[in-house]
Amino acid sequence: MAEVTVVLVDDHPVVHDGVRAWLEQDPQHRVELVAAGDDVEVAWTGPGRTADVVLLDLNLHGTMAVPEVSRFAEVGRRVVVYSEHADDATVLAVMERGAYAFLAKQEARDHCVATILAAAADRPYVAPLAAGTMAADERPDRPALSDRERTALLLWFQSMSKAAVATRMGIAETTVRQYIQRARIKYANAGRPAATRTQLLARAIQDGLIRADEVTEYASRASRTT
Amino acid sequence: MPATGSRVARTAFARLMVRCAVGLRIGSAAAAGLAAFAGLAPPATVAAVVTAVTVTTVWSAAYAVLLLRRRGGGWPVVGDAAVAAALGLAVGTLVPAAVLSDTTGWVFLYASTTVIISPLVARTLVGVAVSIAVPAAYAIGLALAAAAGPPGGAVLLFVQGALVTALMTVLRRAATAADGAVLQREATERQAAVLAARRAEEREHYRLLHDSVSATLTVVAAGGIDAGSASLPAQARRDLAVIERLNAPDQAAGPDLPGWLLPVVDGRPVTVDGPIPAVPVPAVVGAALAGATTEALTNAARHAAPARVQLRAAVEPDGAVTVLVADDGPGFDPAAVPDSRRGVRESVVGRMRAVQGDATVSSRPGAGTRVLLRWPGRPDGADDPAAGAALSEMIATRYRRGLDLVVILLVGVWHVGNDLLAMLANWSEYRWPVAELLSWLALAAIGAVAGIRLWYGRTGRTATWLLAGGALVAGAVGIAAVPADQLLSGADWAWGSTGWFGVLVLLRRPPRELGAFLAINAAVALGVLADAGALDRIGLARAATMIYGTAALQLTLLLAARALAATAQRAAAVAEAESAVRRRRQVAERLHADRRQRYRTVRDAVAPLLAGLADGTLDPADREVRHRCAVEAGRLRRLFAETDDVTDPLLHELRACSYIADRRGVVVDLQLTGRLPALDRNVRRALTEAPLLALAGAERIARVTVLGRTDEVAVSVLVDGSGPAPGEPAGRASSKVTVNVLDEDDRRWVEARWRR
Repeated sequence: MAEVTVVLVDDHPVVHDGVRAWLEQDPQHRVELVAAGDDVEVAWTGPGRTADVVLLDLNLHGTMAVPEVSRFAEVGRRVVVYSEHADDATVLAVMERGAYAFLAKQEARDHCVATILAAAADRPYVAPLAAGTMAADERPDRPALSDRERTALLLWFQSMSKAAVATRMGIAETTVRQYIQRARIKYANAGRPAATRTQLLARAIQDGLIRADEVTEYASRASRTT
Repeated sequence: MPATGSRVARTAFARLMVRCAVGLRIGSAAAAGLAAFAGLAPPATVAAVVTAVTVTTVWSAAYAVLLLRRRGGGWPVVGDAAVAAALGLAVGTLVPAAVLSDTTGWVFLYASTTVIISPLVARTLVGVAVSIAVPAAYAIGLALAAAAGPPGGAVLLFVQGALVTALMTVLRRAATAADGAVLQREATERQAAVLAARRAEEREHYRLLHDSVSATLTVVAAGGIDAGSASLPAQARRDLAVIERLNAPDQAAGPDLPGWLLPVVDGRPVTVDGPIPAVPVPAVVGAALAGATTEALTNAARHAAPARVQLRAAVEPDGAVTVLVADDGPGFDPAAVPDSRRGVRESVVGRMRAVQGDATVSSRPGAGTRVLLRWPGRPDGADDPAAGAALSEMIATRYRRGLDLVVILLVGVWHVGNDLLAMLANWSEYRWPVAELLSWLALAAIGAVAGIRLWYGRTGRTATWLLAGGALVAGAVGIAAVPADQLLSGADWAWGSTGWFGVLVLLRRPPRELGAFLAINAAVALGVLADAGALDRIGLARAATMIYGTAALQLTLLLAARALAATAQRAAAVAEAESAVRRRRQVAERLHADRRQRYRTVRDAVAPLLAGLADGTLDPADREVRHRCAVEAGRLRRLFAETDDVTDPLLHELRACSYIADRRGVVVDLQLTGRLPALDRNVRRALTEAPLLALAGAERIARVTVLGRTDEVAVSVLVDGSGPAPGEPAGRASSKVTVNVLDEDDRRWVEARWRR
């Protein structure tokens, strides 16, 4: 019996087969695909309604499903977004709206099992491209990352190997993981209020990534810049 | 002094002013001489007038000769002032009593001309001196003659001299400004021309290298050739010859069209359709046509074999030279050719565009390929008629602005400084003072409107003629209001001034319109004089003096304005010719320096490699040799990419570095996050060097990532497999670029990072 259930929303049938194959490559078969469809309805009805994680293709029938991310996040559904549209603005918008993770399509094969497992446990997972986006973030109201957190994100983006990042930085691999997760939690802390944001932050407090008194109320972007 | 680039406009302007001065001097001497005899009456004596007129006539001729020879002021101006001053001192023996107190005497006319023309040709200080000395002498002469009333004529002389001196200062400023603008424009153009020439040659050289050295190295790097290859040593030797050609001096004249094309088709499976016309073509054009034809034939051989390939060269009726390469092979879809393939884009189209020609490649799958090269058949750039026209237009505009300003100021100052004061001083004398005032106000209004229209370049006929008619009517009213005994005196300001309003209104119209205007104005004045019974012998002489005095200067000004356009054209031609010489010299110098540097760079990098391949000491199948070829081919590609105009040069150059890996079958994934700041070429080279080396060592996959922030750029390459480890980048940019290499298992991770 699999530990985690996932529902897939994607309008390319061939991707359904691909995702199934990637999940099966996991030797322990920890993730089970319980439903798949070409519309978000599949995640709100039938077996998909109770799936632990929603794997959402951002581009559905020619429109960007960014607002759908908010709908899932508001009720605490753990969303992992994957997309070909991996530009910085899209990645940041999806995280701001309470998605647990962003995967670029070419990253999905190598990272989808790890991402889904982390999401099911309310833990963040940062795939290399999203890490690069956070490291390059220069918006005036971006979360304040430490130098080491930013360096860890950048090197992870470049090398796709936490062991290699650890060697470059001269630290333990677990510390690298911690830097990356802490950076991601800082982004969650700055995100919009949503049930998923609360879940992520609560777990991060338990894991010691952030202290309870560091959690801030969300202020809208408009009021932050004035 | 020959005109140089820095004073073309001023020199041309000075010549025009000399011609104006001479014309006015001779014209006024003649008019004054006639008036002197026509109006001969006491206290003037025959002996004095004969002597004086002889002196003025001879002197005016001498003045003309001296000035035209010297092309400037100085002694002729001093001499003229001396003659005018002498006439002024003796005025009591030269003119009838009636004109002693006003400005209608011939001595006044002569002296007035002197104070007006001296500032045209002399320095400001000399002009000021003349404006003081001549009126002073005239005032003394009037005093000696015991003339009644104040010396109004002397004051007027001073005002005229001062006014013209001031106006000349304005005009000279305009000329200097025009010179400055010419100089600046010339410098900009020269810079642009040098840059264009450098880039054109750079591109031509890179095209040569692309088709030869780069192609050879890429093939070796891809591993397609083994040690037994017969064609490789020959190709490597030809490539070495290409590198040597980078250092060859310009060939002034090349062969004709067959001379360029026949060697290209020689030994290739191509049918030449009809004779190649033996027209001469400039060397750069011949080289471009030959290069583009070679590329077209190579492509045809590569993609269309064994289909029939045809070449046809022709000269079109309009003089354009065309070369058509057509095959009946399978064809291709031109839209599907990726940007990074330089072949057709650069080698054919770019080559032809660089010589102001063009190339069209038309092909459809299944319908063969046609490459049409076209050169329009005129030498490029060097003698561009549009550039000369623009320059002369620029000079003419500057002058016109100066002259417009002068006329507006002149009329304004005169209407207030002379007309208003004269009217107020004689207020009680007028038959109808209110009519006189209305005349003055009407002329002031017309002057304001005409001045604004002139400044904004409005020359419409209807409005212009309405204004001119209004000025004539207002002037006539002003003259008619003067009592008979005051005609031609100071109270009669309207006659003389109306002519100036004519100039202001009609400055941009044909001269005949001002001529007609002045004639009507004179006719009105004469009519009023006749009506008052004032046209006796002396009256006629005074009227003639007035007519000359109120028309000559005005017409001269208008003609000078029109001559400015022609002057500007000549000035522009001189400036253009001189600038072309400077441009050519600078282009040649810079090209020579560029060529040497390019030659050394390429020779040092690839000549040993090619020499080894040519003489067989390097084995093209050897891993190490292939790696070196991949590195050098990548560097050449990057060099070519540096000459392209793209928005993100770093990405473009990284793609060029990746191209060789791609050709070797490596799957390259390029990711960008953030935004790239503008980076200098040296920094980009330092940033791409280590990634380039890593890419040359990739076996199957390569991940290239670029992260850009305002103050930081990180380029990273992750490859399977490894070559020799890259060192720190060399050069000045290296201080800000750090390189990190991490080898783990069978992966190599290279990062080059720049911090501001």
